[in-house]
Amino acid sequence: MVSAAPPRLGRLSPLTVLCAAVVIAVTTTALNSWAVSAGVLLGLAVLLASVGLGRKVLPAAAVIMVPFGLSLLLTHGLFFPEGRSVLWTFGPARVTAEGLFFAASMGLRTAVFVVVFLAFSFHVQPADLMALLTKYRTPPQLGFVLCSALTIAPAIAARARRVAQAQQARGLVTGSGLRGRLAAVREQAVPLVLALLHEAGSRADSLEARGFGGRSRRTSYREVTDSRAQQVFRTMLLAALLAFLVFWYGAR
Amino acid sequence: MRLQLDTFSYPGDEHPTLHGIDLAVQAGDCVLVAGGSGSGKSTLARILAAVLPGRHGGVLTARFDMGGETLWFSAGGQHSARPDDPASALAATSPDVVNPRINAAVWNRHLAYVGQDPSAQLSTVAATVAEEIAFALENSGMDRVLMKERVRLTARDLGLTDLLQRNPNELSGGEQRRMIIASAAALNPDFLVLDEPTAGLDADARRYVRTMIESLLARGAGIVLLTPELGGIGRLAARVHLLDGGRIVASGPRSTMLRSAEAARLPLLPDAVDTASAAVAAAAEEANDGGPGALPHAVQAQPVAELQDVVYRYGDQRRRRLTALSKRSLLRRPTVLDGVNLTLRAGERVAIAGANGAGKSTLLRHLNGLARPESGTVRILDRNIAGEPVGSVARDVAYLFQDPQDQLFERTVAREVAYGMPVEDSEDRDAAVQHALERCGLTALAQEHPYELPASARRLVALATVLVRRPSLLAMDEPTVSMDRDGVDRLARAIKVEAARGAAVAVVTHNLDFAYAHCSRLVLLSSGRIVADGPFMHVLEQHFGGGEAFGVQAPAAWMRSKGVDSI
Repeated sequence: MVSAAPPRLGRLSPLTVLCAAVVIAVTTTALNSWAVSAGVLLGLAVLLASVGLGRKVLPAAAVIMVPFGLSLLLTHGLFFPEGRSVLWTFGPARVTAEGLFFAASMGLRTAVFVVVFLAFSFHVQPADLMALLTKYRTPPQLGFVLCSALTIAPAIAARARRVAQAQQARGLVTGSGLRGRLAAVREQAVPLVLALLHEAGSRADSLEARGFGGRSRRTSYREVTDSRAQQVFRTMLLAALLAFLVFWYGAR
Repeated sequence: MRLQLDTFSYPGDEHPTLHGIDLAVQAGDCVLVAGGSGSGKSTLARILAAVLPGRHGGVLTARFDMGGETLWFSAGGQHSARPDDPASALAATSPDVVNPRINAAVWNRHLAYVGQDPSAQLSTVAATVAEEIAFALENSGMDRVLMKERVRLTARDLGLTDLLQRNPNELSGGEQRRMIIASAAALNPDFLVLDEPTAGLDADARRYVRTMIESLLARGAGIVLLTPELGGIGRLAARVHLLDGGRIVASGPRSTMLRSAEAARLPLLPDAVDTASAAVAAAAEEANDGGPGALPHAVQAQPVAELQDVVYRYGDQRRRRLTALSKRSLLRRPTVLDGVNLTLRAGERVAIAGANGAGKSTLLRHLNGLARPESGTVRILDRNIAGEPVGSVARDVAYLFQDPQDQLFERTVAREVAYGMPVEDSEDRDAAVQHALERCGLTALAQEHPYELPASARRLVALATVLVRRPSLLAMDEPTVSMDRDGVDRLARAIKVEAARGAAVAVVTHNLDFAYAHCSRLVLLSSGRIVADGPFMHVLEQHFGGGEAFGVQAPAAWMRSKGVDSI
């Protein structure tokens, strides 16, 4: 069974996509405008939907953003000392227009950050990234850490599933709904952390035993397209970002 | 290569794990280091692989001659000079020191190592099997064109050509093991250290590994095999070292060592071909004719589990609607089980065998609801378990996972065994846990962490977690893998006792020697279908005249009784 090819943003190299993600995230944060953040989010949603990544990225972003958004609303929406335009009060809580605006603006900025980096992690194949970093003679350990960061969520999820199955096979019945899920998390947290630590230790051993991390220069079996044009584009993009940051913060 | 090891102790241990070892391997030699659980095999393998002591610390006092260099390790040695040392390629630190830090990539070219657990050795950064095989070559800095050719040839030698574009995570355990062996062999190393290289492999895969080792030997490589088995792949070894309590207690030619008093004393698995003993034949006779699990009685007994027309494909059918696979894309996925009908009755001891990837584990997972059929029904005792949580089915079905790492999650052996037991009567529970620990020989290890135990003991902990529940059905996936003779004997006794009290026992296994001695019925699975099912002897007579059927090798003792040599 050959796994389905991941959706592709044309023939863009992972480094180009990473560069674009960094530029979008940094610029949006620097501009600090809810309108810009909302516009960028809309643009990203359209782009991701058109390349077939929307169904993967947007639910994952929602999982992160919904609790985060709620916590922003609770902290800034209800308790914003600088707020003057009071919309509603209940005991010590004051809902102010400024508080809501602050929460919304921060939420939108964070959402841009979350969506671009999730899009990057879903788009890029860790093997492609590793191959490119090897090509540019990045220390292999750094490449491995970056690739592991991309695969850590599915790896943890897979291990958590195995722990859950082991417990269920021994009689654990977790209820449905939020309460059941919380009970399952409580039951699985310690075994999961112990298993992940054990796994990380044995993985490090076996990588070493397979010659990883030696002094020799590493080569790559996998070939990844990364044209000269893309390299030039990346350099220009990063230079433009730097110039923008100097201008933006210098002008203030 | 020669390792003269005085002592090795793990950090914080008072007593050395290994001591007094002198292991020399010449070019073209195959050496077997045989030892029971906890004898120090894997520690020795990891020292040979230069993983230990490394960043783990521990105290090693040894002299290592490798690739024309001599490396010194000393308990008190702090970078002390040694005389007349040439520039060292193996050590990452300055060559004139004791306790050098090893350059992994260079060491790997001289000596490659394959550990016990293949899934723990995946690089996690390879998208395909070809890249996973190439991983060690990449680390050695090999040119891409040469690397592609090397990967192609090694994959061909190990029967992996058709799998080269697959995702390494999607392979079965046996296929992953062959892939990791291929990665080490592709280096064309001077020496190859293999820790239980054929555990869990089917007949074809074993043959590929055997041929690979033979061709490496013919090319002049030295091979070190570490296993509790005196037979199997160990038959390639001319010389055998017996390891016990971290010490080599006897060494000599294989023919001498097989019949030595030390070999008989240690918990080693005898060579089924050389010693297809009367005991095996007697046990098989009991299992097949007169034993409590014999089919004629069992047919009368109540069904404990029934699979009817079970069809299963990869793809989780329990996902939420939003992310579920469409019916069309699900139908494109390969069928793992294709119309399986199977009834297991009280008191039966059933072996389920087949090639790697035939669907054996998936079939077993249906018995407790870990896998749910796309169509068809699964009944446990008198109920259909569709929609019933796994945790609830577990009241009647105890499941032994293929990899104990998937089964064990608690902090101590005692807590592990007690997990999920009813807490109402703690005295009863404690007594049951104690009894299960005794049956598995784990009483002294009750407060140890399961992850810290040797592989065979970990398997026994997993077995104890199953026995303590006194289930109506025991489903065991490859329970004999990595077990020494003591472990196998305890497993065999457990199967006998459980069947005698009226439980059905289903054992998925490649080890037909074990199944022949301890099971009464044989089910053969091929490409997701049951192709043979009946009394053990009957299925053997029907299908195994040629010594092998559906990727399964006939039991050596039975072959011997027929006057045919095993493969």
